[in-house]
Amino acid sequence: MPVSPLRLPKFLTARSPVETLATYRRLAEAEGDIVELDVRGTEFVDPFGMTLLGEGLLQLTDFEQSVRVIGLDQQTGAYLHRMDVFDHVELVDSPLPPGRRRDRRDALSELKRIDGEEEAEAVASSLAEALIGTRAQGRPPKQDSMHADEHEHQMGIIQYVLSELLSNALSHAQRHGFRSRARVWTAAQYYPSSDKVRLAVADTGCGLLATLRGHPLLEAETHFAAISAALQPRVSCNRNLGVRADTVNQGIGLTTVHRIIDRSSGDMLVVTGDAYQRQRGGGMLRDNAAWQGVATAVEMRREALRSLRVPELLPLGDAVPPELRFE
Amino acid sequence: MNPTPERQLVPLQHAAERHFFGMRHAAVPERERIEGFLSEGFEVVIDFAGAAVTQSFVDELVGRLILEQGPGVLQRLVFKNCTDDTRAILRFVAADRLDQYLKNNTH
Repeated sequence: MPVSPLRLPKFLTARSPVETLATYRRLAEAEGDIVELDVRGTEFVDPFGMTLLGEGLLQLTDFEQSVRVIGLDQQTGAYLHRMDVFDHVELVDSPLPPGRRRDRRDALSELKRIDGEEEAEAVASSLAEALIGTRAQGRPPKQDSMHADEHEHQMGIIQYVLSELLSNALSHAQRHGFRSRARVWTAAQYYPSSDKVRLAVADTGCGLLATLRGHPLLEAETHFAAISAALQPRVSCNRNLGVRADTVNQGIGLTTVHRIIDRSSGDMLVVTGDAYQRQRGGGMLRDNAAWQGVATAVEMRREALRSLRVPELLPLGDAVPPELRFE
Repeated sequence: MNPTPERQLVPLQHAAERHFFGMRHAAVPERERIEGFLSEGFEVVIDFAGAAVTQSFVDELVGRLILEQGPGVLQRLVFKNCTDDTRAILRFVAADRLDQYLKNNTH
């Protein structure tokens, strides 16, 4: 008996995490040599939805499954194709959208799979450039090297957020036996009508609970408690020097990103295991919607980035700065 | 009178191209150069000209030195051409790791 096509829902976004994750799970577990994906009813896919779609499709490839996309040549299908969502899967019987891809480097940024830290640095830079836009023609950079102009300042904030999230995904995700199998994805987009920047970083690593198990600030052995702990300052699995020649981590990155989002009138979603949290509330995922690893989605108002200074958002605590020698 | 120790300059790689140093791993080779010069008795001048940095990068570059060698290492480091933001991040990392070092090494 033929299997019905898997219909993507109307919205695959960070604002509907339960449905988006359930869709990912159905896709990743789809059976058959050729999986049929119907995208005709889908109206909006944000970067969070794209990272999960990308991982779901790649998992089909792991089992040598191909995909037939119904509606690839229509609006949403064409958009997903333009964003490279189907780059990692073999498409069959899927007519491609007509015409050439427009270069919209000033607003769109394709789905990227990250294989290492050097690549992550370059991707963070290119994403920031795409989200903030290229420098206006004829405007030279300020001669004073001590102060970034507005363009560089906004790019710097975006790069800061992406670097911290990607760094976490690449380092923590590869612990506890996940080094050879963890994957890291990122996508980003700027929406001019709302002046919103949305970006997402998702890994398929060990997840926050495995990373923080045994940490004194982990209040319970649950994924929900692990997210709460991870968002607190100085919570890290490797804050101290250990026996291994490992990098140490202050446990500040996620906290600072959280503060940046808050100050920019934004929202941040963190998903791990069977739980999720966002700036305003959180909850549990259904059994068929769990995420192995950590998936983070961030939304910020681009205009609000102008007034942000990251050093003001670092969680200082009671520590007294020592005298440093500056020249 | 003790002679002034000689200095070695460590310009952050690609700094002239206005590079953003976000990822931890980028700091590891620079920190290893600094450690090498320190072990030979030099003062080290870290030149941040043209560089924007994250707290993670600075922590891997300098914070780890404080954890391993204690606060005295800061007397042998000079931070050059830092923006206001870079100075603030350096102060934050130094304060946090010094606090941690003292707690770990105080009986």
